[in-house]
Amino acid sequence: MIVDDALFGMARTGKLDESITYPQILSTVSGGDIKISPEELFISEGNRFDRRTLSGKGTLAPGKENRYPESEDLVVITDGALLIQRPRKLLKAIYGIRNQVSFSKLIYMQGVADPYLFPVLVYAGISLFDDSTLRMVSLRGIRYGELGYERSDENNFQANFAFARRIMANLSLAIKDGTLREVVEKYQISTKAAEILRLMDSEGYEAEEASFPRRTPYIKANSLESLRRPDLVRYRDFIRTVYRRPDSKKIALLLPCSARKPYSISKSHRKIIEKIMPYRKYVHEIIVTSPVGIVPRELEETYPAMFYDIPVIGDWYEDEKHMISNLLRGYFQNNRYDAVYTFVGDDLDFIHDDLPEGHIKIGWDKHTEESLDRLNETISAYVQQSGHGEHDSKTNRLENYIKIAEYQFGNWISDYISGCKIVKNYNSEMLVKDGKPFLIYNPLLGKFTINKNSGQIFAKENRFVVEIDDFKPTANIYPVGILDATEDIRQEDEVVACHSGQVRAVGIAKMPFLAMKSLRKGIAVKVRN
Amino acid sequence: MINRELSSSIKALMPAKPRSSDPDKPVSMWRERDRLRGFPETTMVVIFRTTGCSWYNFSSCSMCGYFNDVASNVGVDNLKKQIDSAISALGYVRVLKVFTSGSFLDPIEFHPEARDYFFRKLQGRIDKLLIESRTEYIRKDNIESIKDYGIPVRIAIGLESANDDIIMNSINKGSSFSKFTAAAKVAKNLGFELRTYLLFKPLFLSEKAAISDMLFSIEKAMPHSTDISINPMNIQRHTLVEKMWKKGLYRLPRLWSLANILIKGSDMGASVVSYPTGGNKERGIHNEDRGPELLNLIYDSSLKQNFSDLRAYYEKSDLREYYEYLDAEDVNMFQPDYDRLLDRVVQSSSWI
Repeated sequence: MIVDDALFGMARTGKLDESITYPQILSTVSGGDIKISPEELFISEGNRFDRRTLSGKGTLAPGKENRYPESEDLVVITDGALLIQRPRKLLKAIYGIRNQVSFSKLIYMQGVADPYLFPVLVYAGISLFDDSTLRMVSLRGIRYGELGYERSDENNFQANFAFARRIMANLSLAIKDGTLREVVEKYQISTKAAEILRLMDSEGYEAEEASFPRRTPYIKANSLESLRRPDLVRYRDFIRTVYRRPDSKKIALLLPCSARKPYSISKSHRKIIEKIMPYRKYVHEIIVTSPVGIVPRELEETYPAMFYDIPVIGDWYEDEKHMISNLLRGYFQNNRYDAVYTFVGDDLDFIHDDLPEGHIKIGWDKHTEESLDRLNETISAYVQQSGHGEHDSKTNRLENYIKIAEYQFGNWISDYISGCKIVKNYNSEMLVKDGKPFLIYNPLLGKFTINKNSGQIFAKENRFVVEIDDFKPTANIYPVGILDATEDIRQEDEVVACHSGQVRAVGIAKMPFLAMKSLRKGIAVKVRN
Repeated sequence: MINRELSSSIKALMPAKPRSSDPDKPVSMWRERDRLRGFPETTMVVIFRTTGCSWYNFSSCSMCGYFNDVASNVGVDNLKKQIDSAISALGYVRVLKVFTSGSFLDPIEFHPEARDYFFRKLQGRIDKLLIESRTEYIRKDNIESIKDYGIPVRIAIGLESANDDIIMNSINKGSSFSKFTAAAKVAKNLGFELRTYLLFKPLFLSEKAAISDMLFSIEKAMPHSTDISINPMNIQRHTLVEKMWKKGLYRLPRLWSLANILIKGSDMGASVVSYPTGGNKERGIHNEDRGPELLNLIYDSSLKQNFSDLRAYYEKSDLREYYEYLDAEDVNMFQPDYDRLLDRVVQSSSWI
């Protein structure tokens, strides 16, 4: 029986048959986790594999798709040693298994026990390995060290096994903490590991995205691989194709990012804001950054904009330039402005090729006040000359909240909240509809939480809905009680638990919809009371 | 009992047309040592070129590349010429082993007229003959008359394994253990001796499982056999085994394992021999360290049927790493050449 403690994308940590924690490298030496006899490979009562016949082992004829042996809780990728040579084929096999059994079984891969590959393979959805190939490799005197192989003349199996287990323990923590993607990106001692990650991010994107969490604790974008994180790609897809600028903001002003988040509290942005303060209600501030892309000011407190760091050296890599250019072109096709200004340093000069015709470059020299004054003069002159009128600043705040809600839930929600009032609620604010709290804003996370009132509209629109059996959830909803889940649900999403159109609870998804539908154990939704 | 997928992948590798080669000359002839009369002596080996094994019409065995030696134009007269050249090469040798690329006893492959010619020519020239055949031709009506020539004959059957699962799903022999025992009984009742060939380490088996398969097969074949010859895998051209070997999906066995099988087999009371084809070569059985001692001991002990030197050598060697590797390899259900595949994975990471 599989009981997951936590999932991260396709990766999972938990316990198999109450005894074997995963992800794990199973011991095959005498007295270890796996018992090998001529008759069978035994892991637990429900998970034993017949070794008496070749057909039981699933490898009968070459060149054919392997028939992977299955047990109650496991599917065994037997030919891992071969598939790892061609990571594309390996991923195909993994996705193939996922299509068949979804999350209902764990994948145990034989033939690969390289600790340097564990992070990416666990991330790809493999939960169990065995140490048999580590035993073989150890005979060559290879010693796995934290930073690469260490030379040795001995059989270092004991040390290597301990090292592999430490890696697994760390991966388990990373899955629980939501930092697995960070770990995978940063642990690239093997080119194969990098290859697998890159393939997942490109060709495997759809499968990867379908389970990738909506948000993670933070993004430390130390390498180019970070550019293709599914959560960032997802964000940029939204900005490029779905996002629409606030109606009132008809002047675009592109700005550089800052190290401090949200950008508006940074020293540089405070200076800029000060200079354009009187016109801010017309000016749509758009921050250009990597690896996120572009961030409309009103989304700066949301994920990912608020939660990333990247090394800034005043020089942009071609991949970053390409990503930003692509995004800007798409963005300005969908979002028209009366005027487009840029106030960026020379390092961002490349963006001017991708802006609408007639844009005006103000140019920012960080070392003098002069350029800031020029910013003020230019915007002020335009506003006065173009005759933009007065604006009610309260409407402006609602507009910002609507944009955040649209980003979080989809543009459909704006019709439901355009008439809401903003009411102060302790340290944060909430949107109140017909006198009832509707969406509560959490400024620390940059997101709204749903309550039972707003839950109705989610039920009605069939979005972020977990259809449950006829019961009243209290603390957690387990997948065994889930009948269906809408395909928009990712881990960490706000969701509504319904039964026959009736809202029974609201809470946070702890699994992607695929896992909710195929698992029995583990926490699917943390209910908010 | 056929595994169609396996058969068709083997068939696909076989050359469409047999090569045209001189139908009047045997494929090859040489002298080697064997003990068909119970003591080591020089023995003549001849491989006749024929139209090939009847099984080729369907497929082939996964390890067998003898179809590379057949010719479509071999008639009775050609066979007679081949027989003549074999006999003229005999010289002083009194023991002859005859192979074709199929079955000597298959009347279509080796016409009864040629067979009769062969036996008549041999009368008085040799004291012992070994011929090889698939089981389906070891029928009373087909072989009874051989007795009449008065030459002591040992019939050899390639049982390969006493495990039908391996016969079907690894070797594609198109035979079975029960067919073997039936044929063995026919041969025994007619007074023929029987040599049983076993194939050590066919496809898809770990080396450890292959050793077990040999010991199991020796035990099963022993009551039916005069002696048992262990043939460790060698890589022949245009075979499935070759294709998989080239891709790193098959690993040749080690001489240590063969030594182990011979020692244990003889302990079981069987007359086990092994003269490995391609031993210590790239395409044959070998250890990492390809020193000649072990292979020589295997030959010598097979010939003398005295395994004490081999046993002593085996027991004094440090085989811990060999055992560790075999145990670890055996955990896996998929059995490629792990050394080669793992090598590529190891190469992908960096050293400090």
